[in-house]
Amino acid sequence: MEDLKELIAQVEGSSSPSASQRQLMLRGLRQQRLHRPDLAVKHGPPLLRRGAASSLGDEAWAVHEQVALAALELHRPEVAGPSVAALLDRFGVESTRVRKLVGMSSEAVGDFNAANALYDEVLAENPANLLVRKRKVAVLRAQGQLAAAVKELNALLDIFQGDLGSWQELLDLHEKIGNLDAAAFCLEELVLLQPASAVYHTRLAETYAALKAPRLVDARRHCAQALSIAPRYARALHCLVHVCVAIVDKAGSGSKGTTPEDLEVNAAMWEYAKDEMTALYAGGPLEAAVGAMLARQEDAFAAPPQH
Amino acid sequence: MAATIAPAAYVKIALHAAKYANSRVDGLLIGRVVDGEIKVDDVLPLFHISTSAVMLEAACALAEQLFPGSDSGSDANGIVGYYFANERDSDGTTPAIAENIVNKLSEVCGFECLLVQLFNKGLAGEKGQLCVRGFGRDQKKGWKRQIEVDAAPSAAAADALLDHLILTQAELRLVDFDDHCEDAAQDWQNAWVAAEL
Repeated sequence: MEDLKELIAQVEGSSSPSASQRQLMLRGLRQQRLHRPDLAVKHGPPLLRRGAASSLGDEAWAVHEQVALAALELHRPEVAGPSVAALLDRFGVESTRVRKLVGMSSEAVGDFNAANALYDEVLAENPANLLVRKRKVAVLRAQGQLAAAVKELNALLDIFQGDLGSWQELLDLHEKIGNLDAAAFCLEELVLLQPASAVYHTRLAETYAALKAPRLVDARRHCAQALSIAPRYARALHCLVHVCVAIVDKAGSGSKGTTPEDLEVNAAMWEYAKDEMTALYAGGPLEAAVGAMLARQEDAFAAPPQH
Repeated sequence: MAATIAPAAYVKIALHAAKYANSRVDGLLIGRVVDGEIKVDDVLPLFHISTSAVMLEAACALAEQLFPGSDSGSDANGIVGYYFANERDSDGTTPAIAENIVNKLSEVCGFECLLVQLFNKGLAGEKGQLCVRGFGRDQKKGWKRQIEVDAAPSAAAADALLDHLILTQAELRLVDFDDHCEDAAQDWQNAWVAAEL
C-alpha cells in the first residue's frame, strides 16, 4: 500500500506522467482496492486513447471497466460512455458484466426503469448473479425506498449469507432508518465474518451502547477486543472512556445489575483507556482538550456510587 | 432572526459534503450569539459513516473543551448548532436524527441552536447564492422555521473561496471526526483551511 501511495504521489506530482506509470498506478488501485475514483477518471482516459491502448493489451478492458465504474460514481457520464461503448463493442450484450455497466449508466442519469428492466433480464437468465441483485438494491436506495431496499437485501442475504458487502449495506440501511437492534444484528454478523476487525468490534460496541436497553458491559468488552487487535485505535479509545463513564453513571443512579467487582473492572478499564489516550494525543493540537475532558470524567470515578 | 456564517465555516461544510458525496454528513456549528443572532465562525465536521450516540458524545465532549463558549466568562466561541447534508441530492427533508440532535444541543447550551442544511440545488445555483439554509425551532416543536443565513463578509467572497478550493480538490484534505478516529494524527480542526483564506 505504501508503494502504491508513493506511486500516486509521483503520478499526481508530475505534469505529464508516463503511460507506464499511469498503467502501474491504475493496476495497483484495482489490485489493492484503494478507492480513488478521481484518479481513475483523470488518468484512465489518456491511457486508453488510440495508440496508447494497444500497448496495454488485454489489460485495456480492465482499465475501461475501472474508468467506467469510477466515472459513473463521480457522475461523469461523458467519461463513462466511451469506455462502456468500447466494452460493448468487444464483449457484446451477451456479457452480463457489460450489461451491468449499461444498467449502471442508466442509473447514473436517473433512468431507473431502464436499469431495472436490464437487471431483471439478467436475473431471469441467472437468478444467482449477486452483483446484479445488488444493483437492484442500489436502485431502491437511490430512489429513497430504504424499507424496500432492506427487504430486497434480506432476500439476497438468505442465499448469500457470507457476503460481507451485503451485511455492510444492510447495516447502513438499518442505521439510516433508525433500527438499532437490527443494526446490532448486522454488526454481530460482520464480527463473526471478520473477527479480527477492530472497526467492526468498535462499531458493535457503539451500537450496543445506543440501544433502548443499552448493553454497556458488552459494549465495553467489544471496545477492549478492538484495542487488543489494534492498540491505541482512537475510535475504540473514545468509545471505551464514554462507555465506562456511562456504566458508572448508571450504577450511581441506583440501577441494579452492577456488582462492586464489575465496577472495579470498569474503573481499571477507564484508567487504561485514559493512559492510552493521553499517550496517543501527547504533543498534538488536541492534547489539552483531551486532558481536560478526561479530568472531568475522573470525577465520576472518584466518588464510588452508593447502593 | 437571521444568522451569519464565516467563509471558513461555509467552505468546510461544503468540502465535507464534497468529500463524501455519496453519504450523509454532519457536523457541529461553532460560534457566538450576538444580540440574539447566531454568528457561525467555524465548524467541526463530525461523521460520514454513521452518527452513533457514543461517538457524538465523544465529539461533543472534546468540542466543549476546544470551544467552551461564553459560559467561561469570555467571548469565546462555543457550540451554536448542527449542520447536515443528505445522502441524495433530491432529498430536501430534515431527518429526525438531525432534529433530535439540535434539540439536545439547545437544551445543553441553554439557547435555541441553529440547524443548517446544505442543499444541493444551491450548489448549482447562481453566483452569490449560498448552498446552505438555516432553520430554527417552530411552534410545533419541529425545526421547520426558515432562518436567513448571510455570509460574512459577503456571499460572493464565500462563493469564490469555495470555487477555488473545489477546483484544487481541497475536499480530499478535509478531516472529520470519523477520519480523525481512524488516524489521530489527522487534524480535526482543519487548520489548513484558515491558511487558504
